[in-house]
Amino acid sequence: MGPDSISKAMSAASSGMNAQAFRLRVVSENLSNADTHGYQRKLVTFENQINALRDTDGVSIDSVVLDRSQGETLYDPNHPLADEQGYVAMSNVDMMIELADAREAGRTYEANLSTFKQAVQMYSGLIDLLRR
Amino acid sequence: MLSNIKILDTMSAMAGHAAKRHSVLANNIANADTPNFKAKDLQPFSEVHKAAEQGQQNIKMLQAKTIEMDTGDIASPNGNTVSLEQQLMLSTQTQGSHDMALAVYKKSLDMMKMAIGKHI
Repeated sequence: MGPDSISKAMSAASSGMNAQAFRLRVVSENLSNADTHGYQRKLVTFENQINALRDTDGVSIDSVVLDRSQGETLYDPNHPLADEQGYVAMSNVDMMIELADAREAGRTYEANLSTFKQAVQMYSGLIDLLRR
Repeated sequence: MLSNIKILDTMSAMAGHAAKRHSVLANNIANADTPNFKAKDLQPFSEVHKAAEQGQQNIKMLQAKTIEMDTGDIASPNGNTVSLEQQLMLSTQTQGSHDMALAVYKKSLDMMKMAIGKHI
C-alpha cells in the first residue's frame, strides 16, 4: 500500500511535468512565429487521465487547437504578401499572453517537481527502515 | 510476529495513509489546469482510526475513502478547484505525518531492541 501509493504520486507528478513541458513547447512555437504572416497561435487543453490498467491517475494533453481569431492587418501595398486592397495579415500572437502562459507553465512545473521530490524523500524514509 | 503489537500496526497504517494521500494530492497538482477538475482528498486518518477503535477491527484492514476536497469558493472560470498553494501546503503536511509515523515506528523497534538487551 505504501510504496505503491508513492510510485502513483511519482507517476502523477511526472505526467504533470510532461504536460507543462509540452505547454511550454507550444508557447515557444507561438513566440517564434510571432512575426510569421497569417500564423494562428496554438492552444493546449488538458484532461484528467485515468489509467485503469495500472490504476494510476494523472494528466494528459487533450488536444492542440488553433486560435481562429483574426490577427492584426497592416496596410502595406508594396509587401509581397499584400492582398488586392494592399493589406497584409499579421499573426494573432500576443507576446504578453504567451509570456504569461510560459510563466504559469513554469510555476506549475515547479509545483509538480516539488511533489515528486517529496515522494522521493518519503520513499527513502521507508528504505531507511530496512537499512538498520 | 510484529503484527500483534498495536502501535506498529497503527503507525504503518498512518504511513500508508500519508503515502496514499500524497498520491491524491500529486494528482490534484498535475491537474491544476484541467478544466472542470475538482480537487480530491482522502478521508482523514483520525476518522479511520476512530472507525477501527469503535468497530474493534484491525486498522490495517480499513481503507480510507477518496472524497472531494472542501476548497471553499476558489473555483476558476473553467471549473477547476485546485489551488496550487493549498495543495503544496497539504502535501508538505502529509510528508510530515509520513515522517512522524516512520519515526515512531523506528523508535518502537528501538525500544524492543533495548528490552532484549541490545545497545542502540
